[in-house]
Amino acid sequence: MILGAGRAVSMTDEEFRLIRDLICDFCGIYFEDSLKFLVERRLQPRLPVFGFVSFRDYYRLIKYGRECEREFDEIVERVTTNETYFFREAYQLRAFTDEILPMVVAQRSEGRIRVWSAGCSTGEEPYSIAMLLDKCPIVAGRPVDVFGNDISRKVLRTARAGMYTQASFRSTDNAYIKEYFHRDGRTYQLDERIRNRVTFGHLNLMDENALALIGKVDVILCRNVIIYFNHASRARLLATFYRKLRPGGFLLLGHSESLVNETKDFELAPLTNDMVYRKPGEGSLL
Amino acid sequence: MVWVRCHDCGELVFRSLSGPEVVVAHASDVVAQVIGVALIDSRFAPIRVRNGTQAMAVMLARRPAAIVLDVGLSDMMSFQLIEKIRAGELAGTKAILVASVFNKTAYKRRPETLYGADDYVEQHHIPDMLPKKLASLLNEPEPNLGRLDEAALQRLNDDESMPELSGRNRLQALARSIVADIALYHENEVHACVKSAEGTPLVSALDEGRRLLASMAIVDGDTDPIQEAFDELVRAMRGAMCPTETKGVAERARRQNRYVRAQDLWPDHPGAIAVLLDLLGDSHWRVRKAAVVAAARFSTDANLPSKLVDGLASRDNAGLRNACAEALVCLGRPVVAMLMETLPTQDADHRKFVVEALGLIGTAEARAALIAQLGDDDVNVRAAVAEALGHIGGTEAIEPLKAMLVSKDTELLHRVYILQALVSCGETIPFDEIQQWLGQRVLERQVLALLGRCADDRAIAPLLEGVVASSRETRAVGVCALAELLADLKGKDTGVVARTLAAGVAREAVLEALADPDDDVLKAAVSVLAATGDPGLAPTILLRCACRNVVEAGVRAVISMGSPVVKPLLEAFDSAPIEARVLFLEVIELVGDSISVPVLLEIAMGPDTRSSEAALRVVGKLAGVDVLPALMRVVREGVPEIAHVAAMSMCAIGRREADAVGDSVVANWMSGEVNPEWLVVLGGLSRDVDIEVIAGATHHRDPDVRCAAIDAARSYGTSFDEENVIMLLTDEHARVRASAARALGCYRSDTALAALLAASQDADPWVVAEAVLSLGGVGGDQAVRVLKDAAGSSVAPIAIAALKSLFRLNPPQLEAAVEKALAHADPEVVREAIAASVRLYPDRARELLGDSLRSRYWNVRAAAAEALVNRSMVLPVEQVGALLIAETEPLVQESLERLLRVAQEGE
Ligand SMILES: C[S@@+](CC[C@H](N)C(=O)[O-])C[C@H]1O[C@@H](n2cnc3c(N)ncnc32)[C@H](O)[C@@H]1O
Repeated sequence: MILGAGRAVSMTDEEFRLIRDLICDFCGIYFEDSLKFLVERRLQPRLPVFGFVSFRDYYRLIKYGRECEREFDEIVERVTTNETYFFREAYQLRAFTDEILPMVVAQRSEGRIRVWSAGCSTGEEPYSIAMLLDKCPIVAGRPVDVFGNDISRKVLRTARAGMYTQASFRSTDNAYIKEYFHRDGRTYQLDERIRNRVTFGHLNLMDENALALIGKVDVILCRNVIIYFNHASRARLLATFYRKLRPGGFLLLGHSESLVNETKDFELAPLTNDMVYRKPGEGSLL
Repeated sequence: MVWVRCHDCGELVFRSLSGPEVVVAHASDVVAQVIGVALIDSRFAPIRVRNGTQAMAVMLARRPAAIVLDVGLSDMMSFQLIEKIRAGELAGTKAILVASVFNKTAYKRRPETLYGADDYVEQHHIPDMLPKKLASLLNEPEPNLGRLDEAALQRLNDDESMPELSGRNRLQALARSIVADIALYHENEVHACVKSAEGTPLVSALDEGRRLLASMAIVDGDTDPIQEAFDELVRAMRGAMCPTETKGVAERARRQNRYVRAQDLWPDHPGAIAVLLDLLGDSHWRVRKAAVVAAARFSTDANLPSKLVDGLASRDNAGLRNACAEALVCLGRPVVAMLMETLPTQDADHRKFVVEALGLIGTAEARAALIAQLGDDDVNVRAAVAEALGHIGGTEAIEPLKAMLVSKDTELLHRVYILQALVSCGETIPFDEIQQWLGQRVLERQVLALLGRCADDRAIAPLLEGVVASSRETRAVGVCALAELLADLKGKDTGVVARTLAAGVAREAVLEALADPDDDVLKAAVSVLAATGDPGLAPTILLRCACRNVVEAGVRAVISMGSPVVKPLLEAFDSAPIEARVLFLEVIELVGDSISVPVLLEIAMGPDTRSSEAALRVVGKLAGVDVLPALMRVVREGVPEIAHVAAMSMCAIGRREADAVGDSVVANWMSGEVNPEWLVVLGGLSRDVDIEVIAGATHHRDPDVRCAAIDAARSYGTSFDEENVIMLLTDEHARVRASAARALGCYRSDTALAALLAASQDADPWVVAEAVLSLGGVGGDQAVRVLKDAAGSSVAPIAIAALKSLFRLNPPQLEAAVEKALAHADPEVVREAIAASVRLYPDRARELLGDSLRSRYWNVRAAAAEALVNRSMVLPVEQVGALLIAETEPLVQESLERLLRVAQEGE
C-alpha cells in the first residue's frame, strides 16, 4: 500500500486467513481469498490506534485481548455491508401482505403475530413492513409485533432515529413519502406512528446466548444477509431460524439467496408474487 | 461436393460420393465448410449435420467410420454424444473433437482426457491436421498435407457464429459452445467443480468467456448465460458419474473399477508402473484423468519418466499420448533432459508432444534444443516450438524467432505463433520492423501488444485505432498496449492521446475498458485515462477501482493529475459507495489541498465511520490551528473511536504547531474538562511543560484517565518519574497495572527490575504479560529466570511475551525455552517459538522445524516451512515430497513447494 505514512502495513496471507476466520467465527461473514485486499484496507486504520506495526499483533489482540469484544464491534462496523432501502424487492413485500399475512392470520386465530427482520441495517426493511401493515385491513385490530436486529450498533442508531436521505427512497412510491415522512432540507423524518410500531435491538445472529432471547415468530425476513456468510455459518443460522419459526411460519430471503445446497428443512411455498420458504407444519402443504 | 437431402433423416447434408463416411457435426456453416473441403480433398466423404440429435440419427442410419464434432454442440454436451456413441452399437466409431479455441491466442494446455474422444483438433488446424488424424485413426493412407490459406483463416476468425439462431436461443448456444471450449482446456478445474459444490477455480476462465460472449452478442445485464451453461455442464457430468439408464452396465462397472484403482494407486504397489501405464491408456477419459493425478505420486520413481516418454510415441492410442504428456508435465523439471533426447524422432506428432511438454514445464534448459527445432520439417511442430519458446522466454530465442518471422516461407498461422512468442518473451521490436505487419487482421492482437512496448511515438496512432477495434478482446489488448507505450514515453509529447480521448468513440472505448473483469485491463485503462489529465475523470476511475484489487494503481493514476481532482471528488462524494468514498479521501490526503478542509470536517461529523476516520486523518495532515475548535468538538461529541481519531489528528497538527495545540488542550484540562483523549494529545506532543499535568492525571479517580496518563507518560521515556509509575503497579484496576508494567520497560534500574519481578507474579494474566515483555528491556539473571518459567506458561499471551523478551536478551536458556514452546498447545506460541528459533544452533533448529512441519495447525506448518526456506536449511527431498503430497492446505503447499526446491538444489 502506498497510502500515507504509518498505513503502509500490509497483511500476509497467513494473517489474512487467521483474521478472516476469527471474523467468520464471530459474525458469520466470510471473505474469499481474493478479497484479502478489502480486509486489509478496512482494518489498516485500526493499527495506529494501538500503535501496532503488524497485523499479527492485531490478530493477537482480537484473539486474546482483554477488550477483544470491543474491537470486534469496530471490526463489524468495517466489514458489514449495510446497503438497504425502503420497499426493496417489492414483489416479495407484496407476497407478504397479499398472501403470507392472510395465511398467518387464518392459521392463528388469536395472539400476537410476530415479524422479525434479521439483519435490518438502518431500519428501512422493518419500517417498510410497518407501513404496509398500517394499510393492511386484514390485520386491523390484531396486534402485530415487528422487530429488527442488527450486529452493527451504528446502523441501529440511524434506525432508531428514523432519519433518512434520498438514497433510501429509490424504490418508494411518492404516496408513502407524502404520508409517512416529514421533509426537512436534505433529510426525511419518519412519522412517529410508524417508528413506534418497530422495536430495534442489537443482536449477533451467530451468538447462541443472545438468540435465546428471541421467542417464536411467524415470519422472518433475512434478506441480503447470508450472502456474506460461508456455508457453515449459513447452516447454523438456518437451523436457528427453523427453531424460532412457528410451524407453518415463513422465511423470506433476498432474491439472490436460496436454500439449495443449504438445508432441506424448509419447503418451498410457490406464491403468486414470489417463492418463499416455509417451515412445514399445520396447513403448510400448499 | 454436392448437397443432398439425406434420405434417412431428411436433413440437408453435403457429401461427396467416395471414401469412408465421416459425420461432421457442427453448427457453424463456415467451420463445417472448412472441414468439408479438407475431408473431401483427402478423399473422405463428409456428411454434415448441425447438432447432436441429428448426428445420432444419421449415424444410426449410415454407420459412418468416424464423427468430427464441435466441442460445443448446441443441443447436448459433446461428451454426452460421445458417451452415447460409445455405449451402443456405434461404439467402434472414431470421434475427433473440434475445439473452437475461444481465445485463439492464449497459451493453451493440451487437453488431456478429451472427454472420451479419440483425438482433437483446433479449429485453425483443420486443413493441416484433421485429415491426417482421421487417416491414422482409420488406418487409411497418409493424405496430402493441406494448408490453411489466409482467406480461410480470416473466415474462421470472422465467423459470425450460429446466425441461424436468434435471441435467447442463440445466446444459450453460444454460451454452451464457449463453456464447452473452456471445459476442454480446464479439465482439472471442471472436475473440482463436479466433485464439490464450489465453482470457484474457474472464475477467471468463465469471466473470459463472459467477455467473449458479450463481444459476440448482446447479453442482458440480469442474466448470465455462461454461468447457466457451466452449471448445466457440471450437472450433466455429475449425472454421467452416476448414470441412471441401465445400458452398458458392464462397461460402467469396468470403468468404475479402473477409476477407483487409479485413485488408489501408489508407487509401492506391486507392478505399480505397469498398472499406471495401462490406466493412462484407458479408453475412458475419467480413468485416464485419475491416472494422471496418480502419476504425480510417482515423482520420485526413476523408472517412470522413460516409460511415459515411450507412451508419447504410441501410434494407436491418442488417449495414452495425451495422458503421458500431461503426466510428464506434472513431473516437471527432472524429465526435461530425457524429453530433449527423444526430440530427433521421425514421428512428427511425437515431436509435437515433446515440444509442448517442454514448453509447459518451462525450464530454460530446453531453450537451445527448441531453437534448433524452429526449422522443423513439420509445420505443426514449428508452431508448437514457437509457442513453447514464448512460454519459456529469454533473449536467446529472439533472433531466431525474428528471422523466422520475416522469412518468406513462413505461413501466416505460424507468424501468429511467432509473434505471440515474441510477445510472451517480453521482447521489444523496433517500430520499423513491426510496421509491415500493420493492417493484417489476423495478426492484430500480437502486433498491438508489440507496438505497446516499442517505445516509439509513431506507435500511438495505430494503437489509438486498436483501442476502437471491432472485437472486445482486441480492444482490451489495445488499451493495455497503449498504457504500456505511454509509460515508456513519459516526458515526450503525447498530447494527441489527450486530444483523441477528449471525446468520441475512443474515449467511450477506454471508459468501457474500466469495467473489464481483467484487473490488468482495468489498470491499463486507468493509466491511459490519467494520461488525458482530465480531473473530471477522477471519480469514475476511483469508483471502478474501489472494490477491485487495483486500488493502488487507481489512486496513483488519480494523484498524478494533481490537486484539480479534489473538487470533482468532493462533488461526487455523497453519491459514491463507502469503499469509494474512503478512496476519494485518501487521494485528497495525498494531493493535499487545504481548500477541502471545511467539507472534510463536515464528513468527519457524518454517520459513516470509515469516511469520518479518513476525513479526520486528512484534516490532521492538511489543516492549520484554525480547525482546532472543530476537532475538539469531535473529541467531545463523537463516538469513542472517532473521538480518538480526532485526537490523533490534533497530534498531527501539533507536529507543526505544538504550542498552539498543546496550550489549548491544557486550557481545557485546567478548566476541569477531564477527557482521556486530551492526554493522548499531550502524550503525542510530549512537551516538557506538560509533564506535570500528566503526572497529576496518573492519580485521577477515573481509571480510564489513569491509563491514558501512563500511556502518555511513556512518550517521555525515563524523564518521567519512575516512582510514580511503580506506584501505579499497586492500582486496584488491572488495566492500570498493565499500562504501568508496560511503561516500566524503559527504566533499566534495579528498582524497576524489582517492581517488574513483582508484577510478573500478578494475578491478572495481562499484567503478567506486560511485565514479562518489559523484563526483556531490563535483563539480568533474575529476569531471565522468570522469563524462562513464563515461556512455559499455558497462557498464550504470557508465553509469547516471554519468548519475545528471551529472544531480545538471547541468554543460553533460550534454546530450552524455544524447545518447550514448540510443543505448546496454542499455535500462536509455536509461531513465536519458530521465529525465535533463528537464534538456535542451525542443526538443532532444522530438526525442530522439521518436526513442526507435522503440526496439526496449518499456519505452524507453513511458518516452519517458510523458516526453513528463509534460512536455506535443507531437508531430504523424499521427506518434503511426502509432506507435500499429504498436504491439503494450499498456503502450506506453496511453502512446501519452495522448501522442495531448496531441497532439490541442496542435493
Ligand atoms: C445488506 S444489509 C441488508 C439489509 C436489509 N435486510 C435489506 O435486505 O435491505 C445486511 C445487514 O446484515 C447485518 N449483519 C451481518 N452479519 C450479521 C450478524 N452476524 N448478525 C446480525 N446482523 C448481521 C449487517 O450489519 C447489515 O446491516
